[in-house]
Amino acid sequence: MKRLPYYFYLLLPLVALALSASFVWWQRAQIETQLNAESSTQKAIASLEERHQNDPSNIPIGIGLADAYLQAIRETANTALYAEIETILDQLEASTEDPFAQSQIYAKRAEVANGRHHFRDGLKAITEAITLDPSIAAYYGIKSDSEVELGLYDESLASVQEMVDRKPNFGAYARVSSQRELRGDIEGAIEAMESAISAGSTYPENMAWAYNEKGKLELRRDVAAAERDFKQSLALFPEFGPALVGLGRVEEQRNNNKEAGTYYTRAFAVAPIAYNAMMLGRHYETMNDTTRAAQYFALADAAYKSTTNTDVSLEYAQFLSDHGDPKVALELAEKAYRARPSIFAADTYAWAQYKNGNFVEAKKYSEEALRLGEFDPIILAHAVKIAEQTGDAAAAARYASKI
Amino acid sequence: MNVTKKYGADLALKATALLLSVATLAFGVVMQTNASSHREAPSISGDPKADATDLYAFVSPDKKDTVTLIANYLPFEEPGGGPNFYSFDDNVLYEIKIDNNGDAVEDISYQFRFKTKVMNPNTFLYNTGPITSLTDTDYNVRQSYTVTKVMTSSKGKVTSEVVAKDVPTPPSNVGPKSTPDYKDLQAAAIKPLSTGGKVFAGQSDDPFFVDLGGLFDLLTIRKLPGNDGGGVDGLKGYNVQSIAIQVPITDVTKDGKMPTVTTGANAVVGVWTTSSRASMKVMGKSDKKNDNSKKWVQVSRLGAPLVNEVVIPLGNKDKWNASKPANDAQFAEYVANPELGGLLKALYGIKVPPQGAFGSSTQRDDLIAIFLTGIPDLTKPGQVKPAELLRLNLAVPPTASPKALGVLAGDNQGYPNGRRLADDVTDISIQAVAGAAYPLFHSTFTPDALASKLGDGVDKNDANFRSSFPYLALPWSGFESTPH
Repeated sequence: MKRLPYYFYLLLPLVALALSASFVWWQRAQIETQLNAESSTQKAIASLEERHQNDPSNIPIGIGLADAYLQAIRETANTALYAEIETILDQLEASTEDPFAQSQIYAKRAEVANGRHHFRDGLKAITEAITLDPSIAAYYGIKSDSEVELGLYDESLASVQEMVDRKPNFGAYARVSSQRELRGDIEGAIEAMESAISAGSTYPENMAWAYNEKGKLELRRDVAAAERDFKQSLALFPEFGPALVGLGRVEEQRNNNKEAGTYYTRAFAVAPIAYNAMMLGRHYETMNDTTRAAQYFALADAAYKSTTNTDVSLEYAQFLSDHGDPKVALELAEKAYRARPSIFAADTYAWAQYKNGNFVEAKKYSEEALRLGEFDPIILAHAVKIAEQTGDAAAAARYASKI
Repeated sequence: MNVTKKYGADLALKATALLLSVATLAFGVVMQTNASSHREAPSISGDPKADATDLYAFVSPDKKDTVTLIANYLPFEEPGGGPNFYSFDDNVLYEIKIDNNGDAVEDISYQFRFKTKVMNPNTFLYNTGPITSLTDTDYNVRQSYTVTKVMTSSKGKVTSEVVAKDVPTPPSNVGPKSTPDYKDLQAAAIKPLSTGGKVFAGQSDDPFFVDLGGLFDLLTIRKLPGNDGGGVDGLKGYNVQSIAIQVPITDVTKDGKMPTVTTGANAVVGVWTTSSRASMKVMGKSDKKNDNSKKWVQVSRLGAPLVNEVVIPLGNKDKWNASKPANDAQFAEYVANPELGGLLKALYGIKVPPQGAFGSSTQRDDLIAIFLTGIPDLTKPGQVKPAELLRLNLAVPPTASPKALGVLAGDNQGYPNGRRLADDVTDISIQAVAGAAYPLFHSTFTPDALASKLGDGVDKNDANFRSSFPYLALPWSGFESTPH
């Protein structure tokens, strides 16, 4: 790699300071813009906050406000709201002994725990909720969210089946899609996501999310269809960050790297999160602009480091394995794998082992990452490299043929 | 090698991170990583396309040998809600069910299945130019539907007949440039049934009028006692998706004959609407085209107005929406001893009738009649299994001067004898819970003086109903309307 002039490193902190101030402003503006655009969420929050203040022990109002905050987090990535939700739930918990109300409180705690990536806590809380009231279909969806991240795939499948049998709707179909994708059934996953889209949601962001997820699935078989889905997503929720990234990937697949960069830049502008910084860094790497690549990787690194509301060990380890200190990546990957032993955590752990030269260990976790089947392109790409290093050329060729 | 240069990168990056941390903390906002798992689906999406809002059943005022049934879905349609606008869901089985012998099981069901066709999949536009007819090539996302009449004999034998096929729905009322002559578009979507009668499905103004904000804010009546305006119509300017069907009365009575007396054994029918979605095997192939292979799960149910919203506790909503009327005894407690009665007493000091557990001497048998068994000599079938249905006596002819308060105002053609579009069911329900009809069952009881004056202060719809099928007001246009 071409060495950068030394003054670049001296200027970097100043650039970062300027950028960080801009990001803060951007992020605040984005939260307000998106909430303004999504009047349903903003209206709900404004109304419920007022009513909650007047009647802090009212369960439906408090739960409604918690739901609205959870939706706002989806729309703005402002995870500081988790603490607000916990305060509300504490107030509600102190004011009721009604089993259904308590089950609702447990369910919201589970959603917050899952949002913070504390999936064991999430599973514990939602299990309590289901014990108190097993009739609520949505609880099984939350349970499956925890189970998937904990690598409890049979259990998560059963939970989703329970949910869709009790109350098929947007959330249930979307989770069916996820289960099918995990097991390599892309066509079935798309079909289920189409059912989710057809069912619809009260929130435009939900619909944008569903089109975006479908677009990601389509990317694996039909780039034009993926592009349509990402554009539909944007039409429903202007400047929806994940859909902008999706369009960037579409352009990448078409070798239109410059256009891809435009989308990644827009995504980063609306959501200056670590992932979007990393995507820009990778983009500039592709464009051989090592200066900018380094800037954005540095920003991604800083963003991961400064994250306090969510456990991002897994995501940070993934990042560091490719763009940072492999030793730190390995530590974080192990921590993440112990906390949430999903196939993706196993893959991250395997890749971190590989990057540290521990090829035998890498192979062990790589095989674990493939335990649901040889489908996921990233897991397979890592598996190819690991198999090559362990001398298993046949496996490497097989994995490569499936990417 | 220059040591400063060698270590400059690390130091500078660390300084960058430090500055970022300081800057973000100073601004009070932390740069976020992805907030949640990328695969995490929403959990509070609701199910608007399968959400029944209201059901209407009345003897057609302009065609007295027919009955009109209207089921509305998809609440709070903002008229300007592009780019997709509004439709029914192809994956939902919509039904209007009729019990004509009082056993709380459907004898007849009209089933509606929708099919969406995108004419040009390369655009996500709802329309690519003005839509001037239902076959206009600019009408890009269009829906049609099939109506099947399913009949269940007293011996349980089920037969079915398709009574309308590939019926077009009109587009949403987008605005004067996209849907310039909406009235004609809607008129073109009214089609005959093969067995007589007609059908319409599509967007309409939400005919319900109610002060939602007040009702759900601890039953706040803005201008007491509520019979002289002062309410805010929470549905003003919003649209819904309507399914309207008008069939000969003889098609729905138990003996296939026109009822001639209100006490006749064939006079009363119970009506409700349901929506069902197909479950799916999480893993395994599904047969998308074969309805018979689907496992339908009922996700919404509606008979009389406001029961789901006001009577059934939150914790039982899922259970209620999945339940069948024949099993309604499990919910009788909420009718016999309604929470709303306690609220009226606590908030407004209304002397409500005594109320107690289902089966007790103080159960609210007036409300049990209105909501579960029917009113004797009006909506109660000869043999009846208690069930929450919208009961209609088909022998009561349409009146020339309908009263919005229906039976409470002496107009026996109105709610709770079926429900007409203009019936003020909110006021009727509040007054009923306050005890306005209680003397019919307990002659010594004198209702509170306010009982027959209570209401939400919203007394009529924000748009005029029409005099012929489907009677609903045209939907608000997206371009012109600002809801609420």
